[in-house]
Amino acid sequence: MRPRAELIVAVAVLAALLVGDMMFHRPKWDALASVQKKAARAEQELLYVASHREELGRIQDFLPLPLENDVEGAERFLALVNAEAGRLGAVINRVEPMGETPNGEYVERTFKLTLEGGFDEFRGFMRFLEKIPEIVVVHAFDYRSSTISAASTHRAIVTLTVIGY
Amino acid sequence: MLFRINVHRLGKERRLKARQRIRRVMFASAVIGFNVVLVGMFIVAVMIQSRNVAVASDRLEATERALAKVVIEEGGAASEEEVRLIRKRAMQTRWSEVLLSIASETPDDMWFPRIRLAERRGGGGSGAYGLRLTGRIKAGGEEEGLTNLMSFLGGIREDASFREHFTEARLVDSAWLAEGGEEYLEFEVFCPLVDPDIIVERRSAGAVAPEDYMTPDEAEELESDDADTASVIELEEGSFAS
Repeated sequence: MRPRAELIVAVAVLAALLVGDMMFHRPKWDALASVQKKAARAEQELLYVASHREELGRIQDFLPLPLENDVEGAERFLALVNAEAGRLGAVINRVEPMGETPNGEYVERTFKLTLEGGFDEFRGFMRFLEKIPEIVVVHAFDYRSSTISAASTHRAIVTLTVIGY
Repeated sequence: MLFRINVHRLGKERRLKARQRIRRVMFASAVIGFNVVLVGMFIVAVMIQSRNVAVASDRLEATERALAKVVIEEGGAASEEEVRLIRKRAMQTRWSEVLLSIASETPDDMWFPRIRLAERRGGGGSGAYGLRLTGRIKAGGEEEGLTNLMSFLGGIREDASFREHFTEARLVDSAWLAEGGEEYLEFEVFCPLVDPDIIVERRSAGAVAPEDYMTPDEAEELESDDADTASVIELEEGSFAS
């Protein structure tokens, strides 16, 4: 049976449509779902904020504190975390600055910190990072604890970005 | 007579050919028409989707502007940048709570030599981004060890703080090993993180609740005095050491 040109064209068109679907239609579908989700959440937030206007006075409490006495932002952050680690009974024995990026009037500073301390100290340290005035985004951590040995050592390496002045 | 028969046959063949040609033209028209309709539908669908994306983006932008306006005008935030920072703080993962959940669900005779949050690959990929727990259970027998492990997995899967941040807790590896005359079940659990965008949704089940916007001071007040259950991990480890 001789292959008919129109059948070949039909198959080619279907194949092109499938490829087009994957390349154009599906990404748009995903983008739409994502944008709709964000819009719905923003609307909920607006609704909440609009109905709790009396609480808006606290907004400054959520933001990084301005710098005082010409202290550099990175210096202040490292002094803070060092003091807290000491208070918790842990030690920060390595700080690796991994870059600074200006972000409007703020600066995003990325560090890799090595903390020597037990699980409670590590958890306490993470708790501290959550509540300092600067906004800390933890990208990765690796907590290791030696097992079944008299001289147990515990070490955590934390990669984080601090957003502050 | 022969001539008449040939003319008749010729006419018949011509009619047959004409009928076949008409059938073929109709088939080709149908196929082309079907393809045109399909392509048209595809183009219309893509156009509708593009329009929907544009409408949703406009809606998002307008809402965020309105939100920023309220927060800036009435709340004293200086810029949209600050509003974004406030939202970022509200959505960040509270690792101390996650670690506390792990510790509180850890049964006796279990500890973790390694807890690792794998770094996200690239800018926004979410493929392998999650928490990897490498643990050990000291057990008298296989059954006891597995029971403890299943109990731990069931516990963290049900834990509210854990469910807020992770899609699941999956056992990816387990093996029996003997050390110092003791038997251990070594295991690895992987917990993929949920999309950061939906953490707030999970926290508040559809509505942004005030607790998602805790100030650092409020967060400190919530710190529980008896939150040191995490020490179970080290105590157990210490007890093995002795």
